[in-house]
Amino acid sequence: MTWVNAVLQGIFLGGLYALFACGLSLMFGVMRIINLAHGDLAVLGAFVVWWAATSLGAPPAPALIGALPLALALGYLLQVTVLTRSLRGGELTPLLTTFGLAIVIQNALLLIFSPDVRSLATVTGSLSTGSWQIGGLTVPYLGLLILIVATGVLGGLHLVLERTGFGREMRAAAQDPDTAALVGVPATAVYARATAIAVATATLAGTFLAVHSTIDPASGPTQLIFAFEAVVIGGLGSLRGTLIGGLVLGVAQTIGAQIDPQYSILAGHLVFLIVLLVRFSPGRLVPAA
Amino acid sequence: MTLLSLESVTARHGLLTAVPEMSLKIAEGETLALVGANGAGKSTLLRTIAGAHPAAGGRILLDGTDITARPAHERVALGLALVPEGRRLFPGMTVAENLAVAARRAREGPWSLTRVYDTFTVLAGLRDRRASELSGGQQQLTAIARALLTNPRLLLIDEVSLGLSPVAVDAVYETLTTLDSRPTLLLVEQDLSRALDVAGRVICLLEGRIALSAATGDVTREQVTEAYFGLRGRRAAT
Repeated sequence: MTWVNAVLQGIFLGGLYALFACGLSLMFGVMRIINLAHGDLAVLGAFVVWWAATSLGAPPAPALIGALPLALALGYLLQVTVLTRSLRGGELTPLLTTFGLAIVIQNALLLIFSPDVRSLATVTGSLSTGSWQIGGLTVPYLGLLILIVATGVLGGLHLVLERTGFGREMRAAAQDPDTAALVGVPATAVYARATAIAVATATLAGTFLAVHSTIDPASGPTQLIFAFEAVVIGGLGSLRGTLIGGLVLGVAQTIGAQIDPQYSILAGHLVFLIVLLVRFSPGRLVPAA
Repeated sequence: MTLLSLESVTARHGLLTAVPEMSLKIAEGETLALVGANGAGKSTLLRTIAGAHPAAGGRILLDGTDITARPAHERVALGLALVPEGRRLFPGMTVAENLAVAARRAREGPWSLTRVYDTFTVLAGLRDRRASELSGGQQQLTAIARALLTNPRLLLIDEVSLGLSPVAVDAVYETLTTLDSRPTLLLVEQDLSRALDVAGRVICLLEGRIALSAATGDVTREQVTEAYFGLRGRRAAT
């Protein structure tokens, strides 16, 4: 039962990783941008929610709902003002741009909020610590909520991409931006919407992280690594794959922890490296979609 | 009435000038065939008109409006559509999705999804087929239908018959020539006979310049062939 429980906890943890990875996967899928500031944008969003909850006294849920439109606007502006220009500079330029952005965000957070560790667990009551015991298995409230939200967000986004005109435009711009423009699709606006959604999902993930554990201005890069691993494990640019990738990473970590607590992170990295070796082995230079 | 006017338009690929100071007028309702050897600048010219390639000089006017600096998607909204060389369908999307993308921001006009399926009957049975799984002819018809769905005033088609079987070429041309509400057409065609059959006027490009421009009824295939290979004196652009 202990191992089954470890897998179950891994699935719940994987929900958080999948939520983190969602925006990263969307931006890569649509624009082929690896957003190195993704983790820091998530932490920035979490700090905004934390500030609203602790300084303004807003309950966490309304604070999060209020932060999401801000995140959407930030993402849209980021794309229009910075990333669109960097995209014209070739493949490496967005990488360097988002790396610079990550440093700016980390230092701004440091300046405003100090290096202290923060958490939303103090204002969310039993949500962060409570659980159900079902036949020897532990089902944490927060873990289940995150998994439901992650599945809903990734599934919803998948449906939007597959079933709506907006989603079709996004897929068309992702597959061939030049031809998309030739049938009237404004790639710049489509990209801006994709980034807006990505930053909003990052804010959602960052907020759940702040409820689940703690955040500080330097938390972003760690979350970026987990998100990146989930995206690679699940298949670059695939939202369904991202959900699976997050769950695989989460389960790998909890099983690793079950063997020895210090193997938790290592086990996740090992799974990631194995997937990388398989996908990018010499005979398969092109990653499997 | 002049629909499209090029005034000394220049297009370059790096240091190479593919189209040097081209001037050309296309009247509304006209069907114009652009012929010429590989590297003559035909595709570059079409892509420059459509906004897929930047003009290095000159002006492009659509119905009197200067569109030279407008991005491609804005030109579509003004009534320009290009069927690019190689069709360039969105490969991971179905035929229906390829068409729906174009229909979403279409101008007001005669073409709708229903009308496209009524006209391009072969596509109706292929709606759920991925574009990458279509034959060359089916892809070309889908690409033409996709462009028509934007309700263009001027439709540019690059290399209509390139890479298609003779049967597929017949099907594409039959569809093109029997279209109701046909927009003004500028098509690039390697097949001289087809070009002369379909178009009212033919322009032969040689090294980016107009080597011949004439009504198809006024020239023989031999005269066009001579211009094609640079064997005759160049006529002034009309």
